[in-house]
Amino acid sequence: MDVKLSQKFKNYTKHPFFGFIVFGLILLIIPFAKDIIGVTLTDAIAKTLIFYVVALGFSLLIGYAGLASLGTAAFIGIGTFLLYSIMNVFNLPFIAVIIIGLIVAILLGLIFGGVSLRIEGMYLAIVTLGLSEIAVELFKNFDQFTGGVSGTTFTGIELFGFSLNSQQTLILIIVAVVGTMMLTHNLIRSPFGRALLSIKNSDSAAQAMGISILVYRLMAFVLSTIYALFGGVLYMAYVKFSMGSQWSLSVSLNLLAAVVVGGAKSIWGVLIGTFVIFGLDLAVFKTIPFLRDSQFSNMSFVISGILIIIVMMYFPGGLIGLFKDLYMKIKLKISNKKLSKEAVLDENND
Amino acid sequence: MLDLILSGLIQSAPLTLATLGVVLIFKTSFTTNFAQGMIGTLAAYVVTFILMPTPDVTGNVPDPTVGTYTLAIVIGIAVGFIVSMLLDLFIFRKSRYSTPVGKQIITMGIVLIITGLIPTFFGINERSLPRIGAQFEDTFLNYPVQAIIWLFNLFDYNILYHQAVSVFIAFVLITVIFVALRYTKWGLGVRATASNENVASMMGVNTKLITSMSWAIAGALGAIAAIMISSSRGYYGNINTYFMIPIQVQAFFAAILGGFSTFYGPVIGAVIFGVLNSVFSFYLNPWGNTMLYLLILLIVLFKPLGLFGKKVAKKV
Repeated sequence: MDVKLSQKFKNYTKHPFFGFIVFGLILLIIPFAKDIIGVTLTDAIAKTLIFYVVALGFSLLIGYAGLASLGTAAFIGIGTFLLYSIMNVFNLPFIAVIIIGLIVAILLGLIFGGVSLRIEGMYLAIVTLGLSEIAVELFKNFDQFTGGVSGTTFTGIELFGFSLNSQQTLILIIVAVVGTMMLTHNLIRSPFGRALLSIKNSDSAAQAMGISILVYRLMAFVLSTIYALFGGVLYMAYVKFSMGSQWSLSVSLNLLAAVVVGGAKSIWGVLIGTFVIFGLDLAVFKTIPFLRDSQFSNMSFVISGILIIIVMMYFPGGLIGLFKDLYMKIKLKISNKKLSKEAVLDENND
Repeated sequence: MLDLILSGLIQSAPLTLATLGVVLIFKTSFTTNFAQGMIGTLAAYVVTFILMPTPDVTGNVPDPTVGTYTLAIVIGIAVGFIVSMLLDLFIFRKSRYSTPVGKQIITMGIVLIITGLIPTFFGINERSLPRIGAQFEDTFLNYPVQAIIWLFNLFDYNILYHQAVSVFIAFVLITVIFVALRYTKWGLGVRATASNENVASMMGVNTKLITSMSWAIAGALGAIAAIMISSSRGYYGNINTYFMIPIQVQAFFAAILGGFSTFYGPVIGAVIFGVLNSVFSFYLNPWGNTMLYLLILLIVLFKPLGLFGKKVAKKV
């Protein structure tokens, strides 16, 4: 009976979702321990989690489709203003945000991804860089929906007739994080993810197997757009303030750094990367007064940039790959020791 | 309308240089260098630093003599040249076999590094460069510049002195580079590397040297473009960390419009871009930029290789 129970338990722990749920449960401590952690740190963690959602979508694009985009920040910005304009300007329910957000994300992804990916994968970064310039102009001139140069303040979202306070919004974010982790895990292990990987490894071979490069790459880009827009909605729901000029190129580049540094192919790797890049920026360089007010406030950029280059040149697996290699080496050493010990014992027995 | 076209032509002068830099790197390293604008920004900062080590917050623009200004600009261009060459030596030579997107990501990392380093070295205040022009009225540069002014006056367009200088410099540099590409050993090497790097190196072309020289020249072109743009604005605060990003985007779109497969295509693309930009921003204000980018995307949808692109057949 006892053995069976542990066996059953093992079945659950072996399930890939188990880690995600445990991670979510650990995170759930944060909204209830806000007084102990402090408001600044809680905000930093919440923002990092939101960027993690975006980074997960981006990891589909970088790690699996082998493409780079520079329009992520623009999509986040569009998400924030979409939430504001639908709920505060047009006074529609939250469900409308999700539906319209999906439509907008798919349309944007199809237009900008379709044009650039038709030529070559490399053009996506250029075209999305142009998109980010366009977005800056849009944010500035549509001041009815974006507040123009000075930005907008959001009143907070209402769900099923309740208006959420910041603690409840944080819980919503954590639920969304765990949900996106599960969704990404399933996407990676679906035929879609396998097709993307095959394209990344050899596009000629993938084409020969009947995989349409354009369609799958476009799908990856559209998915990453949806993630980014959704991240923007979460950001606006929690921070309640968004300004057009905030969503500049440096946010896109930091997201890129987060995905690349952590390990673009791993859900946990992206988590580590996001916490390294954004956690460092939000919790260290933006909070410690000595660093924040000096000319060293942008040193986090330098660190992210150096990390990107080192990882791209020497550690294609990212930090998580490094940890895995280390783990394997230690394991190998231990098993080697065991083997040699057994060999010694055997010799003694003889 | 003619006025708009002519002013677009003038504005496209720095853009052609930046675009030529993008194409040089694309041809020899098979990637697009996102860091070129930031290298140019760095060079422009160096020039202002030499002219005015601590920026005047009250809004005064430095007023250098011909000698110091020329020296500062030469040092700035040298910084662009050297930084770009070092990037190739230490980073891109070692990652020659990574994918084009991988190299793009590395250049984005360089953008982040320079963005962070600029305020650390030069402070957080905006800086400024004076207009190039009045200082050079007594030198030999005056004669060709006067000729350009006369040429524009034929069309009843009143070109400013500093604009004529930038048109002259861009024209000379582009002519020199195209002649070099056509007739020098370096140019032959670049064309050979562009068509097939492996075969070129087997045929005795020193592809490493060719590539790093191309990077260096592209860096210098980026630096000249940055100095030209910031100095032509001529008011306080024309140099900040992000002032080259729009130019970088425009250079990429001009290159896409012209097509990456030839050298002359992107340069003509840059001129077309400049003219269209001037026309669009007059008639479609404030949506000029947006409409122009969307128009280029539309053109690329029908002509994926750009206006002057040639289809390159590839063996598998």
